[in-house]
Amino acid sequence: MSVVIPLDQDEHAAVQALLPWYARGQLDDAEMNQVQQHLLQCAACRAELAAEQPMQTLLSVAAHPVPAGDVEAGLARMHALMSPVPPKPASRWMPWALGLQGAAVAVLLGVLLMTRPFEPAYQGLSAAGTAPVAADALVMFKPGTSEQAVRELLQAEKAGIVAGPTETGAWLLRIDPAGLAALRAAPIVAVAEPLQPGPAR
Amino acid sequence: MLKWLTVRKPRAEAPEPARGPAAEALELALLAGIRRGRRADFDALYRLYHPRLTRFLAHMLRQPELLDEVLNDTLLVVWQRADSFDGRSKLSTWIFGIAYRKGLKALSRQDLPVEADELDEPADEEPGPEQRLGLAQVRDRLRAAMAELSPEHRAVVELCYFHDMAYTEIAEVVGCPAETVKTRMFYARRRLRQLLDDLRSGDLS
Repeated sequence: MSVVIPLDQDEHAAVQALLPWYARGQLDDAEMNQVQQHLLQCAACRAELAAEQPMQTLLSVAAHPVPAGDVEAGLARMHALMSPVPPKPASRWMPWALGLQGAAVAVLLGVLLMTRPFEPAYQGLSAAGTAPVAADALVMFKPGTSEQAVRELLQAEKAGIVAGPTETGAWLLRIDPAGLAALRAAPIVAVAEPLQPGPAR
Repeated sequence: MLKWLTVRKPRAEAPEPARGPAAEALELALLAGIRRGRRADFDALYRLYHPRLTRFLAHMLRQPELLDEVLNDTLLVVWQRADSFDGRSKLSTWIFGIAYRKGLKALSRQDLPVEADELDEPADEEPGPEQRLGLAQVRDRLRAAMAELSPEHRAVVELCYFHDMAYTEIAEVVGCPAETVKTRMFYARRRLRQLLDDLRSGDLS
């Protein structure tokens, strides 16, 4: 025959809420003591406590697998966010991107406009009546191009970097039409596409 | 002295870096370097936090395509606003708090919650009811159970069960009263307990 000890329901609820942390030793001394005293007289809480280990196992074993996560790739993307002018602009160039350049121009510009805090101080020449345009051209350099060569070419053509490099190694530039034409002719440039609507300027 | 039970965590995943006072001191030293603009210190802190935030965000968001962006958005704040860490909490509490808010924000931008996780892992070798009933089946049930919980509830479960946080610390991370953390955990745990009971009785229909 068991002796029924009336339990304080408030305490019962309070203790039950603490059990996950009690099982992990994450309570202060007063709370640890409170839980232990309650466990002595509460079979329901003892049963809940006993379920902690299986619960942890369930969550560990049966949870959907977490992608391993490529730390260095993430860090490389982070460096691009941290610095608008990293030392190796063309290192992430991918050949397949060339074939997709037409679509990529629109997509990349869209993504960049959404994710990067531009200062829309610059208004594209042909953008009257439309949203402000922050960049005139998308440029990709050939693999292995040195940072110095890029810098010299951009300085010579008076190009300003708006953003980049993107995932595919593309840069967004502010540049006048003559400069863009010169970039297209430069041997280190793989792609130089205008971003302004209308015919190529 | 009573000793009821301590939970030994099954290490199903790669071991995480040791934590404790020494690890915390190291992290604070790195943060001091970050405040001076030292990129090498930032890279080191990034590598320390990448696995922990990946795990946390993967389970909270349940949308792998959001993970990389939210993770880097979080650590970019650490780089740009290291000065705003006031030292009143642990550095990890501050960083997880940023991740939590960035995660909720990313989810709120989504139109519809999408079940994107594919369960194609080979079965675990650990014997138990999971084996008898089929791991895939158990995972389906767990996925359904977790999907019923809100991201806020999942975050509390994750931080308690896998990031060793006390409820007071979780309250700081998620920015709510400690009682709310306990309530969320109670609710989430009740749902998971139900699943456990079904497992035990073999009722996975």
